[in-house]
Amino acid sequence: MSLLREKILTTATDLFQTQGINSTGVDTIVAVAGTTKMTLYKYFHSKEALILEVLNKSQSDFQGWLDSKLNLSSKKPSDKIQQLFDFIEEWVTSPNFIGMGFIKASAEFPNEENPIHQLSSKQSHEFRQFIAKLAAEASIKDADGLALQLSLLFEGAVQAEQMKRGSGAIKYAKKAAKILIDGASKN
Amino acid sequence: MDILHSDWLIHMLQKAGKTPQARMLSLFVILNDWTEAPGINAQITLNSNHNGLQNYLSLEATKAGAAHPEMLAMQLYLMAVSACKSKLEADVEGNIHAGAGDALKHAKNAAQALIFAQTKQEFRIAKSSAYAVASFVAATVIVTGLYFTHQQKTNTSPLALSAPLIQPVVKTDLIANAEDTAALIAQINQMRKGSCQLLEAIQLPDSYKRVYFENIVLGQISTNPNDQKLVRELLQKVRCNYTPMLMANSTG
Repeated sequence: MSLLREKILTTATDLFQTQGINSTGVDTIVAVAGTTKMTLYKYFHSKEALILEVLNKSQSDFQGWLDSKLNLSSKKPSDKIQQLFDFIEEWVTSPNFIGMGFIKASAEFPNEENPIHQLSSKQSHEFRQFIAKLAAEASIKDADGLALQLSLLFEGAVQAEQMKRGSGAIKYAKKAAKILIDGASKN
Repeated sequence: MDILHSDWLIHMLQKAGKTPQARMLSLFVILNDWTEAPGINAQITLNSNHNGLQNYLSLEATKAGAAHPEMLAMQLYLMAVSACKSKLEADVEGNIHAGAGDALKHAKNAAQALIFAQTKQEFRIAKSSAYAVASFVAATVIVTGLYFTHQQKTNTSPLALSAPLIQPVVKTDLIANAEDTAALIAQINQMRKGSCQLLEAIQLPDSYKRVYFENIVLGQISTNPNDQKLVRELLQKVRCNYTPMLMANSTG
């Protein structure tokens, strides 16, 4: 991947999260990235294409990081699901946390016909499925139900954290997650 | 109709339960009923500028003794928005994503755990092995226990402020005896070895829920004899099968 393309992507990711997606113009992105509109449009056909690419990259980065953390941590499936929120807490409370792409995007693009809304909704479902898979591997009967509960907790806490940095919301979400996982494990 | 920001919803919440916890949780029940009612064109919008609902939840969270009422209110609000969206999507598209039709019921479970995480008192004994330490610090626990209960009372309602100050009196009968505690810990540990059908916490009266979650679900046995009595009663309702997995499978 071209360095310049990379630079535009990371700049856009930062600006979308900190300034908002709708309120960040292409002009601002090229100014901050130190390039031109022409270059930006060479790599991304439209602002929409850029947003979609930002979402895809953010999500695959996050998922990749989470996967490697989980793989390194423990072989036991029942430990993995418990540790999920430890890692999420680590990520959310780290100083360079700027937010979760799909959560921000679905709030800014509520129209269901919009491709950006559709992608963020797809990513949210994929993340839910990822949790359901962890739950199923830990032999939890109602894996889908638990995944839904945990992802609601997770998204609520991340959103709260996006609105108010350092809120500590994730700490309580983690405690609640433990209660739910323990409850579901015994059924 | 923008239900999440309507006075109607607040009005429904106010009459929905006797405790602040119950009123907060009823948000999810009311929304679920509403999404299932006929002839309603249900639409949900997130609107952070119009926060009557969040203010109401925050007030209830304060009454419930939450560690961070505003944050809890915000999380509950966001979870309600998100679950409503999932539910409405599922209703439109057919149940494409597993469990989405029950999103609000699941959100209620998650909310209950979250409310519990924010309101539980944290001076309890963490694990069974800590029993020796437990008896050691027993006296401290009584004092802090009374202190916390008292603190909570002042938090609970503005009325309590005008109530006469309660003098903390150290009562020895607030600490269960060692054998009883040890027996309970052993029973909980035994339970972990079998496959047990736990109670549906939702069906328990609110005053039982905290004791149930802390002692039975989390295994943090309280040193309060009244709590222990309740735990023993609740444990009788738990059905356990201690047949080892392999044997159970081979007979079936």
